Amino acid sequence: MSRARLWASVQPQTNWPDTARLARALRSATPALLFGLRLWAAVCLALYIAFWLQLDNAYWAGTSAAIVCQPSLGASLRKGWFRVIGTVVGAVAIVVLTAWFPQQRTGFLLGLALWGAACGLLATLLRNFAAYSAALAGYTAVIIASDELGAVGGANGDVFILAISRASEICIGIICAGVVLAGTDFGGTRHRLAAQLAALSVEIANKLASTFVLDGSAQPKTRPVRRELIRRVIALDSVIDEALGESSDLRPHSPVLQAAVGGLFAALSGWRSAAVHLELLQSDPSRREADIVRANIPQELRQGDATSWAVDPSPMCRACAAAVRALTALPARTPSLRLFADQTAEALDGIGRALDGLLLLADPGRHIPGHQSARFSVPDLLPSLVNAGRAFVTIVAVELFWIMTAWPNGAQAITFAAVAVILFSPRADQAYATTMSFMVGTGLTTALAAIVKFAVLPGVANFAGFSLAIGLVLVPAGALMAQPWQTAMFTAMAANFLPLLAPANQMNYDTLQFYNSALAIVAGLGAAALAFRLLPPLSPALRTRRLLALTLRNLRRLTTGPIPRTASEWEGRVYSRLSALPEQAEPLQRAQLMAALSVGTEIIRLRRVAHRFDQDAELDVALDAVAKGESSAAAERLARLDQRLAALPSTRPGVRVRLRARASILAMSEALAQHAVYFDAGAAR
Amino acid sequence: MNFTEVDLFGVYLAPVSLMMAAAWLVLIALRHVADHFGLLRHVWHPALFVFAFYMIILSSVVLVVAR
Repeated sequence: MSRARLWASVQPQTNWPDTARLARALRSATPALLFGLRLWAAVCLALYIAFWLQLDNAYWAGTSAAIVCQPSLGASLRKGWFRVIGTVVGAVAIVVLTAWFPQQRTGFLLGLALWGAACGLLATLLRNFAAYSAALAGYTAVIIASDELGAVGGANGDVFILAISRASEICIGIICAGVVLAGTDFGGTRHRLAAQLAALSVEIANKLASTFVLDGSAQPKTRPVRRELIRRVIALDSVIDEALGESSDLRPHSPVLQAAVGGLFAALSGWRSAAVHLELLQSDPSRREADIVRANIPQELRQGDATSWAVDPSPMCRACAAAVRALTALPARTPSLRLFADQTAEALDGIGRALDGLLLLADPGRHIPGHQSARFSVPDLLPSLVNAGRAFVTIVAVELFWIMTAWPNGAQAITFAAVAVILFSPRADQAYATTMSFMVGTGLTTALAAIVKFAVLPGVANFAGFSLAIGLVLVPAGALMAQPWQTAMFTAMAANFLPLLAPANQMNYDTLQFYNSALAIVAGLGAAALAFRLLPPLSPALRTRRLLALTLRNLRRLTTGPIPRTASEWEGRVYSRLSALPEQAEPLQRAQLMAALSVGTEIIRLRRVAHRFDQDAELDVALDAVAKGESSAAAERLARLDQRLAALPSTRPGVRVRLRARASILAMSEALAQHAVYFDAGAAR
Repeated sequence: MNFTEVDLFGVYLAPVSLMMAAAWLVLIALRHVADHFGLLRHVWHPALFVFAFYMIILSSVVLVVAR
């Protein structure tokens, strides 16, 4: 080895920064930094307008702007709109409450806690941004109340003026955030939703078609795929809400998007029934029947491409509609073939509804007929009641603490306890961790606000300097909010910085007041965190068990009483339960809910058909076994009903309807057999 | 009674805040012991139990200081 090479190998290499890597890192951080700048601009604009209008607590305008700013544009705009509604409702509520309890401290404070509880209840019952609006109505009322309460409680006569000024400040913040975000970010949620909807539709269509190629023994392998797809369909809900917030032209057509999700659930249900039937009937005739049905699925649906579906879904819509017509009219001699054809038609019809959603996303001006407004259905009332009870107890406890200690900043502690306990309740098992992160973030913000307030602001003489000073905290906090790690902590930093700083036209540099205020905020958040520990939300496992049990109870009720005209109410109820399933739910539990959907739909169909052919008594016996949780007995009685329907003379009208009923019996029996443990659970004795 | 404000680097703190911190430190130690012997497994509502214990420790600290 030459001396030069030896030297080269011994000499340590200088570690210059890798420019390409640095550029990549900067590029990936740019969206977050831009968001931080937008948040800062929105806050500055809101504060400028509030100061210009000489509003007394201008910082609420900046605080609202900071809270309304969300990394996703759709979330921000819609959240802003709902925030206006919540603010107005909360302001009206506190004025009414004050009028009801003039000079009555106990009544007023209890009324305030009850209002907080009612808003907590609605915040959990409603979903997404409607839930946020309910939460806002609760804590806007508490914010105004904290201003009007005296040293130890009791309302005063300034409530109307306070309500107007607080509501105005909050609305200024909302509008400023909306203007800044809408003017600088055009969002991409609609494209994201279209891509997800197309990907799910393509995947379901492809895998449905390939199910008919697989042997019966290979069918169990498709179960995990379906269960994972159910989870992904459930996750579409929040993206839909963001898209509705981002695009005002989508809002009037929101039932089409809800129907698209329902369609995907229906497609998975139809696929499940066909796959289970193939799994149970491992014979040559069933193989031939599967081939017949597969031949009726158009080639473009069998080998679809998500990108082309998202760009122009019209050809696929037409193909789906044609395939549904062909499969419905398919001449079938056996219940087995009828089952394959009907379930595949149902699945393709569901995919067609999802494609209608895609059509809407591609062209929001298009009229898509046949979709009625979705009916609101409460999946489970208990989590909401627990949250309402916790909100009431927490607010009353902090009120009592304040009255007993005569703490000057107690009212502020009540405000922040109410904000946290109402706002974070819908996060269920994440509520405690989120509140703790929020509290830690507030603690850090206190230190930053103290530095800015006592070290930077005394040297600042104009609004431009003040804006730069708050930008030192708001821009990094906003940028960090836009990344996935510890989002709640950085949200707290952005949201609580201004209430702590309390900027005013005549700044007040009283350290004691600052620390009292900071202590009140941290104590309020701490009370909320303690409430989440002592009165914890229902665990995901318990919520899942309850959703399954409630669905089973509803299913058993379907067996008696008046026959529903359509299955849409039942389907809507199960879709809402599927959407409410926690992320931690077992795949098997999702499949059980899907099986219940299928069985319920078949029960409604069979009850209508049995009535037509005077087979009510025989069906009632079978359904009685379903209601008692005796699946095997139900299957036997359904087989007897099948024989009776088969024995009816072919000269009697309704041959096709009877064959369809027999296919329904088959699908129902197979679902009962596959999930017997679930359907037999808690059997009525 | 011996409740006077505490000067912490120029910031006057309420005496109860220091007592709360002291009670919290005691609680952490006791919690470690309870975890080691698995005692909290036998409690119906561990969070409520720990909170009640914290209140007992804090009250005891206040009483000791007040004496």
